[in-house]
Amino acid sequence: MGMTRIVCIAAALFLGLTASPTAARAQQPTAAEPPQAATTDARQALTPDTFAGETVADVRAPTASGTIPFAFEPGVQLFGEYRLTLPKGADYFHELDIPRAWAWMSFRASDVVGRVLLEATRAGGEGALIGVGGDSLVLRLREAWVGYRIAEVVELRIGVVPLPTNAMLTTIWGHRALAPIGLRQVGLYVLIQPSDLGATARLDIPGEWGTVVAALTNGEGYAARELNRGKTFELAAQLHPLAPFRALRPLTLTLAFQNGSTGTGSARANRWVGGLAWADPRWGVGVESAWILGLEDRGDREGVLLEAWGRVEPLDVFPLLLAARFSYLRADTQAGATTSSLTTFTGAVGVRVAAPLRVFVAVDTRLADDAFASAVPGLERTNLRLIVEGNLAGRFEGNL
Amino acid sequence: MNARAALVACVATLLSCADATPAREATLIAAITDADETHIRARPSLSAGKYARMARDAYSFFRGTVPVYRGDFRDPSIGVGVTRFPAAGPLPPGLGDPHVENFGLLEGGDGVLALEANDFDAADRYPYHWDLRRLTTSLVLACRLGNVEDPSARAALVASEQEVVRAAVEGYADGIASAARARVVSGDDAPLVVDLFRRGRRDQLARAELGALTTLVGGQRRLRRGVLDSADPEEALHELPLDGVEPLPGALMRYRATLLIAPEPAFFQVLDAARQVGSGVASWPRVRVLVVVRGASDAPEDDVVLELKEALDSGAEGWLPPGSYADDVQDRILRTTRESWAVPDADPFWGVTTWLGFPMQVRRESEAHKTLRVERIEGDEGNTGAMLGLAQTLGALLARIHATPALGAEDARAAIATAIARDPAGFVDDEVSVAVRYASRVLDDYALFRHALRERGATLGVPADERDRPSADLRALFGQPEPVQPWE
Repeated sequence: MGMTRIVCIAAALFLGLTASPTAARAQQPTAAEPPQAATTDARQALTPDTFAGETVADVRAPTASGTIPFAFEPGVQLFGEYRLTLPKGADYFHELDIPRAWAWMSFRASDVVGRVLLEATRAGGEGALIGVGGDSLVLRLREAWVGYRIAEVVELRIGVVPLPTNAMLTTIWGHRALAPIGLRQVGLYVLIQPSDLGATARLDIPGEWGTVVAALTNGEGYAARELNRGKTFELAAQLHPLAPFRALRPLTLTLAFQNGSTGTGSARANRWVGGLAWADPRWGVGVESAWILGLEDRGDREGVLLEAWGRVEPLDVFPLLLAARFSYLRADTQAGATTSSLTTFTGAVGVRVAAPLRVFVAVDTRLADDAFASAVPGLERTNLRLIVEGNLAGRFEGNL
Repeated sequence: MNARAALVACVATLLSCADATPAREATLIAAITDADETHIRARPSLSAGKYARMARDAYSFFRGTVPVYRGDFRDPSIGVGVTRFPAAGPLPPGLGDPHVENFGLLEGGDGVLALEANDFDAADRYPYHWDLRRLTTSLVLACRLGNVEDPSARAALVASEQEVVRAAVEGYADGIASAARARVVSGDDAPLVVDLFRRGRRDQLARAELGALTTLVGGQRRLRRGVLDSADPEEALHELPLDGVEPLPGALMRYRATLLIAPEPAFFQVLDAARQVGSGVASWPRVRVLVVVRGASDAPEDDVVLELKEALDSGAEGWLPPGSYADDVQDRILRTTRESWAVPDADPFWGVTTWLGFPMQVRRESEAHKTLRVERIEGDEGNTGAMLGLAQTLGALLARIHATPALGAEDARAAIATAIARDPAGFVDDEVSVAVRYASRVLDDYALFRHALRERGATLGVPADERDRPSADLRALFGQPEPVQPWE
């Protein structure tokens, strides 16, 4: 892809999203109804992978005295868990782990926004013995971007940016501590990246109709360097088709498309994603599906992912939480190939101990067909987990 | 259509991001560069040498394709990882890359030469059929690529390749069933192995490595410098930077501590050291150093040459928890060598150390340590009978390795035996079918690799970045290889 082509794409994205009459009209902020995704669990702390939290909170325009209002939001999110793993046909294993340790700082000065998000990760990969300080937990950048908001409707970002499909679907699921969405990880496959080096343009459709985000990125993900000339384009929309009816606003339609390439061989990595959900703060159910074209740097592999989930906080008198997620991947559906399948299920019971603290007991089961299971020992397993999820975030304002 | 709509349509057309590289070629290149990216970026001239060697002949290509095999194994649509006979339970200790040329002679602590695995770069815990299929694929390739100068002999061997694989699988199945722990100290029914022992014993007595690698200067033994063999102008010994020489005595003392029976410290007094370049195939870009040490006495006749080779991760995927089975790379090598050999001191000088921060494997450099070579499959060693003997021997040897009760783990042998016992004949048939099919894929891949190397150059498309240039000290250590010979 030549530079001309890249410039053409970038220009088209910008024009397509910002020059629409709708967007122009929307440049008048409506103070009574600030932009906010109606589907977010309001009792859950807003974190960088909670889509409503994507937008750094509003600050007003420069004051009459000429100073610039400034806001920053530090935050920490931690998932700590005890995990008992029962691989099929092998001995049990158990360990204490922190699947997520995030610390971030979002800032906003006038219309300039940004965020730096650090995450902990193991220095070595799976099975690796060489890492930093053995296999220490080390910090790396998950997000580092700066952006500019236009009339509280459009936001442009550049840097290591979060990608929309993962953020949108994770938000309505609402229980990342229990399981990632299947597109993020199903068994051994990572089907989309959560963030990458590139740029995004986001449009919040006035009237709470939803959000559209376009991204142009390297395509290798935030943990790898660019390896080819192809750039990955992602377009995702999360819409509330019945937005005018407040009671029906939780009905959420998610549509996404990715045209990408990975690896030095520029292997195809395209995705078509669709999902329909009822995403009320108190309860939610959803179904999602994805058509996968290109898998693990193998451009000719295809597959289909089907997912269903549900969550509910059923009682008024006690903060009980129930959640379940089901994923089914049918891989190698391309012509002439022998297909294989992988099924995962997560079920959990939890309690909200305090607003920023939730505790769950969860069970995960992963089943594969014989072909898959024999090629990947340990793929089939059951986990029992005790999970503690902590979300701490604050907001500070001042003037520059 | 207004201008904006036209522009959006234009974008839709333009957004075909994947290049026109054929899918399998893209897969192949992605797997290799993903595994080698750090070497390609920081040691480009060394990785270029590796790829030239891989492109030169199909078997060398196969030797460099463990990362491709890894991807193929976990891709059920390829089939090389799929089996009707999965073994439950713990993973056995495995070699990871047990192809024909990773077996050879080692001189044990008792002075006896034995046929053993002699490459532990990828050794770890693997599904048993990973190792078995890597071996059987290499045997099919050996049949198809041996007898270079004799087309009729090659055709005869190709015609019996299924028989050869069958012998290997049956040797493996028998070995698993019997749990035999035999040490292979002669070739018996395998002329290729008989020839290996004959040549090994000849050079063992002559201490041929001293003549090949060193000279005496004023009574002091020195390693030669430059190209040692005009038939292989890429392999050479270069000066080792002083920064690398000074820490060698300390590194050798750490190495000494890892030996089962350690000679006196004076044994390891450094007489000379040199950077070795152009050796191996997959490990071509790794740092290698040859060191001459004093040996048992000051007499030059008992000097010993040691090879220090940079050790890396095995590449195993940690399928079952805990995922890794050693504390560090050195520990992995020590464990896997001693688990794999018939006797723990199959090479009493095989140990590990850390040098300049690099994990290093240390072994004795000896001309008696002959390795099986596909190019030697010719004449009396290249007929069907010879290959059947070799296949049966290697199959049994691999079974012995898998049947070793691994340190700190349960015995995986019983699970493998149970799996095979469900249908022994069907097991053999399946393995034959997979090996023949996958060997054909390897040969197809070889053509794709050469095409990719021709089109993309020595970095295989990994973008160059000046920021990847290592420090001056590291550059001096990596060194500059001899000019890489044309590969076509």
